Amino acid sequence: MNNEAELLPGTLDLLILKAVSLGPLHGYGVLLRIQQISKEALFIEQGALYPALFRLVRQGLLKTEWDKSENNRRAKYYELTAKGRKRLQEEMDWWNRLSKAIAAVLAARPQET
Amino acid sequence: MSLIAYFRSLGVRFFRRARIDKELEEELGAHIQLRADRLERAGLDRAEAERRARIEFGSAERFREECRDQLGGNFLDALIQDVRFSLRTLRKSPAFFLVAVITLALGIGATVAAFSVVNAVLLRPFGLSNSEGLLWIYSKRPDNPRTNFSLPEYCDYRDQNRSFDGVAAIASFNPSLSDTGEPERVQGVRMSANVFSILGLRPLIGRTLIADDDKNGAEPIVLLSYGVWARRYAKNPDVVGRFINVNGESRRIVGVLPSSFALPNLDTDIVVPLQPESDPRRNARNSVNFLRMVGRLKPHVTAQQAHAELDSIRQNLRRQYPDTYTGKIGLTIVPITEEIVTNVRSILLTIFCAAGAVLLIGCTNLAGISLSRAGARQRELAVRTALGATRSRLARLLLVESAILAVIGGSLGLILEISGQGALLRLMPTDLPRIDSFAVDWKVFLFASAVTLLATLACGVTFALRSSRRDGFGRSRLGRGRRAIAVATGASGGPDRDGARASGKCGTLISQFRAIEQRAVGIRFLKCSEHSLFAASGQLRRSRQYRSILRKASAAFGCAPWNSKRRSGVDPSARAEKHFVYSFHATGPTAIQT
Repeated sequence: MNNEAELLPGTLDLLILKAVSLGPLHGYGVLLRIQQISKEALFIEQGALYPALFRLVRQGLLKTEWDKSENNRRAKYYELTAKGRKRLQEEMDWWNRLSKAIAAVLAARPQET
Repeated sequence: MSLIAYFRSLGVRFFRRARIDKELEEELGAHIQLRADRLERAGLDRAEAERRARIEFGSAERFREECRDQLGGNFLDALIQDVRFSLRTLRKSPAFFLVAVITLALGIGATVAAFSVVNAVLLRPFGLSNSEGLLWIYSKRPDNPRTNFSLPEYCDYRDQNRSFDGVAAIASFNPSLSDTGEPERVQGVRMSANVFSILGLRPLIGRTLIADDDKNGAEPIVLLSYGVWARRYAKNPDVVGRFINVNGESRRIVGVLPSSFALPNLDTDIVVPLQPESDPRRNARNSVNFLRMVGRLKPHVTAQQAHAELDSIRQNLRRQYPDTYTGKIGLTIVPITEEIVTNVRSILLTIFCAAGAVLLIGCTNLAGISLSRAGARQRELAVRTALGATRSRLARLLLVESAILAVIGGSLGLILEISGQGALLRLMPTDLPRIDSFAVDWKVFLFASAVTLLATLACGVTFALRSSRRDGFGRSRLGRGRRAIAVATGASGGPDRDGARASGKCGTLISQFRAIEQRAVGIRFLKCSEHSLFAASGQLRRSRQYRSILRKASAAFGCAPWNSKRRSGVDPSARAEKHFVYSFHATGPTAIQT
């Protein structure tokens, strides 16, 4: 539990978009998928997921539909819109640039400076 | 986020709040159940699984609130809060509240009143379905660009032109009207039958003129104006078909004109058809010029082209009848809408600007008061800032406050305007065209709202921006705010501290208005004296009262009475039937007491 990393600000949206891009999910499903892919390395406060989902819906990046879940419960499913797919690509590019840059800085050795 | 999406979510939030809340509840509930299902599968019993799921979830209430915020409707809640709070604040300073509301009510009321008149007279398309392409046509003489045509001349223009869909003729006359009620002198208009189709006018009841009415020997008929119909017949729709005496001739009433009907500079009480053939004396080449013409251009013909064509017709006529055409040097062609309003445009715009200036002065003074109040409210605003109010939130609160003042002031102003319309009408020049149609319509309401909004901004923006600064409310900052207002008012002609300058500016406006009004006074008096003379015609002609009126009129116009053979001022220009018709030509302000 303690080796779960806190999310950097701004990255939750990116993770949600990525998780949903693999197929429609309900809120709990989003959480499970992120934890499953990250091998439980990332800590997401469960309730905090929903304001983020609502924000993405309002921005038109996700659309919603009520459906039956695998346990036969009614749940709201989130799905990526075309706009969301575009945004995901942008965010991924941004993240890759950022992490590459940070990694480069962190990998610097004394003689290179 | 697009604006549409924003408003949609605002609407969703506002109108379907209950449903959204239920959905949110269900969604979060489903999450906990799904989590509990998983925990249950891991070996916990159901109750324990649900408990654990709830704990893991965190504060449901907080997240619910955050989700609602994400829907965007939060703005409305905050606004309602602001309004409530502002009302409380304003209640605590009733003196300021009263002064502000009264100032704004007067300012907005005056501006809206002025606008409603401008709207009625200048902006509203008057009873015509399509005033584009409607032109007045006058004969131009060396001394006067707008004189009339003779009957044969009208027929020539009407029949020979190819630029117009139709050319109609209009002539004024002053018949006496009598039926069972008291006889009265009215302003009559003879019109060729095609005038109504050219103007695109429909009757209120009955019919207008038809082509056969022009023919010699047609049944004598008459149309009533809305005014006469209301005055003499109390708007009784049964008048159609009745007979009325016009200049001693019995005519059948066939229709009533709508209240919006108005001819420029020509009051119209009744309309009778113009019958060229039935008037051999006037239907002669060298007879009187008493007709003005109105025409509707054919599509794709410009006024210039029409002018050129009519002018070539005129030149032909001049070659044909050199004697009668010596003075007719050209034509004057004016768009009909321009003619209707040119006389009063300057008066109305002056009134409008004056009212606007009053409002501006009121707003700037209020802004000044608000700024000085900001000093007193420093502590309150500082506390709110300390409690975490953002700058925009504070600015909004202060703007809401001035909006409340402006809305209350604006509504009062509108009430004032509506209830004070009678007084306003009395203040207006009596010969304002179409003043009957002056009313409060949606445009006036729209304008009132716009003015209210502007007043809000004018009163509140400086205050809001200055006071909501996080870096305090020092004297110097307030001073700068005040200076900004002083500059603004200086530029726009209002006062701040300099009262003398303000009254100077107002004085200029008032004296301008006076000058315009006085120019109109001569005309008004002329009308009044004409009317008295007409009333005195016929039987009364030889009475003492009539002579005294005539004497006064003669004195006022600086000429001898008509019977002394001087024709310069009082001119018995035409004798129609049993009545004497006099026309005065006044150039300056004239005062006749009758």
